Amino acid sequence: MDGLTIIRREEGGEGTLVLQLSGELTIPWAGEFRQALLDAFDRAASVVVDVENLDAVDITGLQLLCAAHRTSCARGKGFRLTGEGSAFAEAAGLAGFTRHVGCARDVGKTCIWTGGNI
Amino acid sequence: MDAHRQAYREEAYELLAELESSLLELEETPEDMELIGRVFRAMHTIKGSGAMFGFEDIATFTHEVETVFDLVRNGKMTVTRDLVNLTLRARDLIKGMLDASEGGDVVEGREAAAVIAGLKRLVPPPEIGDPLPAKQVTATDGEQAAGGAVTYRIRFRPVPEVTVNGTNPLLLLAELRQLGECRAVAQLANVPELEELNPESCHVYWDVILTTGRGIDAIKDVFIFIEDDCELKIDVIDDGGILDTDADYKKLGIILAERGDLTRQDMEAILAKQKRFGELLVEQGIVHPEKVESALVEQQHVKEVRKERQAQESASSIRVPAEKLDLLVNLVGELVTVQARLSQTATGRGDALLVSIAEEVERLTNELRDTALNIRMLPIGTTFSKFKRLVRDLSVELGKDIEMTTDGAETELDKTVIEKLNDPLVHLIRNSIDHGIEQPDRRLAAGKPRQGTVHLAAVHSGDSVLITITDDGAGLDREAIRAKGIERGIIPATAELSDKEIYNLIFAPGFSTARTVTSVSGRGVGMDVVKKAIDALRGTIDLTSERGKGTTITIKLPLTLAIIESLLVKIGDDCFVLPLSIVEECVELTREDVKNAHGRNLANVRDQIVPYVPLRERFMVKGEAPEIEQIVITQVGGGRVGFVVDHVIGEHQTVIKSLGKMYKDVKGLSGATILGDGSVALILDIPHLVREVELEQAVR
Repeated sequence: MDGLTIIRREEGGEGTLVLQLSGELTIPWAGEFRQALLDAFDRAASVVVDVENLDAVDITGLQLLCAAHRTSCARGKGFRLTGEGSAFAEAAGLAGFTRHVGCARDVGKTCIWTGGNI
Repeated sequence: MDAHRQAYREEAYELLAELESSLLELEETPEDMELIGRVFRAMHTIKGSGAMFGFEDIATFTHEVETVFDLVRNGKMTVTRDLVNLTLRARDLIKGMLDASEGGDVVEGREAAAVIAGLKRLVPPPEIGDPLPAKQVTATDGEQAAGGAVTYRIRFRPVPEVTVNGTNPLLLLAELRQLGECRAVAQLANVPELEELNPESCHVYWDVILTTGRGIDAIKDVFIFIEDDCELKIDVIDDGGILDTDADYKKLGIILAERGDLTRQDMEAILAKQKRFGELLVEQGIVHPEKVESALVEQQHVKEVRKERQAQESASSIRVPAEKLDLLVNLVGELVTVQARLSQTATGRGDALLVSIAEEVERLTNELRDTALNIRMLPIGTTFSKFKRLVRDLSVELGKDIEMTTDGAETELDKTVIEKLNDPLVHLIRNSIDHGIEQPDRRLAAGKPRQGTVHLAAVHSGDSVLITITDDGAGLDREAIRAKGIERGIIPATAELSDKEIYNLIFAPGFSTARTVTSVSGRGVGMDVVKKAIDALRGTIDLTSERGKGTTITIKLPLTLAIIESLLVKIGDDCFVLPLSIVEECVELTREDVKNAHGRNLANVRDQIVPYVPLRERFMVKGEAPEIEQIVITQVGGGRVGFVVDHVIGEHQTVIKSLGKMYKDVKGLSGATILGDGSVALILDIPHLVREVELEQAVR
């Protein structure tokens, strides 16, 4: 399957928007995904990205998720990942994104790379 | 001679010895994968370092043999007697090549070719789909040739456009992972928020800690295509154990400072507060938490690598030339002598302070002596494994089926003793195999198992080591020995002798049966030579035998040759020394006693008759004996013999000095020692004295 598919769905009625990804979260689709994230933060109080069905993730994809978390911290919105499947976990591990403590901007301790579940 | 080549040769000889013993063991347990691995490793090392130090012939030859054993190791071939035979021959050839490099005979190329051809015949044809054997070997080579693993810190900072240019940094990280144990930490500090993010650029950089044996060039090769597109800094943070001594790694602050992430001033300021350093750094906002994280990963990684290595090295040792040890022991010997003089002088002066210092020196000297002697101790096992080969080859030659078993290979003996013990043991074992163990059919006829056994055992017993050689052969023929003894004029025809006395005849000079035996033991050396060699080591040899059941030879040896505990005695103005190990007790001998014995040198000790030797007479010491003399009763060869001296002075720690070439023919003395006051005391060779007197008595 080529490309990145983003399915948006509201959840729980509390302003949570789920972006369900499938396909490739790689550089050709990075611009598209960035826009999708920005739109989501404009619309919802909390954004969840479901990465379970991703087949491939590259550095730009990981970087985008990290940036999204930073945006959420700055805007005081929620952001988390769900369904960290094998392709995603492998990429995050290989890239050395997993860690014990979040970054300096992670005041709410919501860093998506901590917790060891990736 | 190049020191490296020399070191290689020494190592190679050791490996060859190990190879031999492993092969012999392998013959008994052909399925033992660990042994197969050991054989393979030994050969691999001989080959690898051989090539490195210019022993091309050895490297080439060993490679061929190793190739075959690699097949065994991979389960593609089984260990057979033929394989062991050929490999043993190959081992001998390698040894020959080593000898040749030191001026020995050149090994014939034909022989090596024959062994290789033989080995190749044993190799089964490769199964379809199997990788070629040669290929497997090269694969192992690459792995091994790299040597010790080194840990590197790699800071890889690609320019943001790197991804736009089509490079995938994750692939590079994956390649690094292939090189060895690798931990990457992504530095995300520069990742902006979504609004400012150019989604196609890379704002991440990495700190990678990599432990690999492939060298820095292999790492650089990974980044070769994006050299211009990244900032790359590679530092060695752990050199594979060349420089570091403990498993601890640098403190966090030092790592950060080295990386340029923290200044030394900041570090010191923080250190002054003495809280958890990493937390403090983050709290104060001096270093980003992820940088701390990354540094902690490095710390952890290197600690683990070093811990692992230290565990491997804890059993390590250093190689020291034997001469250095001999020199050390000599010096310690001198020190012991001087210390004795010091103690004696101190006691004489009656100065309490001097005495206490002398006591302290004595304690230290004793410890030093024990340690120095201990260094020279070697397990006797190395000698044992040599004999396994001997037994194997001899039994094949003689058409006998003989198994050699050993016990107590870990028993430690002085290095010199072990070296000098080799020839006597070879001779005794040859005798056991040749004369002791019968041909298989005769064994079966006698109701014994077809396979004969020679058992070699070593065990500590007090201050000596007992070495026994036991065979389950025919045993000694009492009557034949007796007849021969009479024929050779060693014993009178009418002598009534115990079994023990008869068996001991075979150690008598002139009894040699050398002329009547096979090439195996017929080397013109009699058992008397063995006895002499053991005597020279201040040991004793004893033999028991049962007709039809077998023979046991027991050799008793002192632990060390350098220093003995002894009893110092005085005759006239001269001092003599007796080894304390054979002294049983001292009793008085009055003129009255002598008169009552009516000229026979026999003393009555608690209703037992003990013969004695008046040393004053024997050594023709001038002057009159004191009113009351002393008999020092010793235990020699199963009997009690007394030695009459003027005075017993007391126990003495004797550093043995040889008498030198000039006096090598002097009988009855085994050496000399220097006393505290600088005078010389002679060490009595008690067994020899006893034998001498016995002979004189027999003649009379």
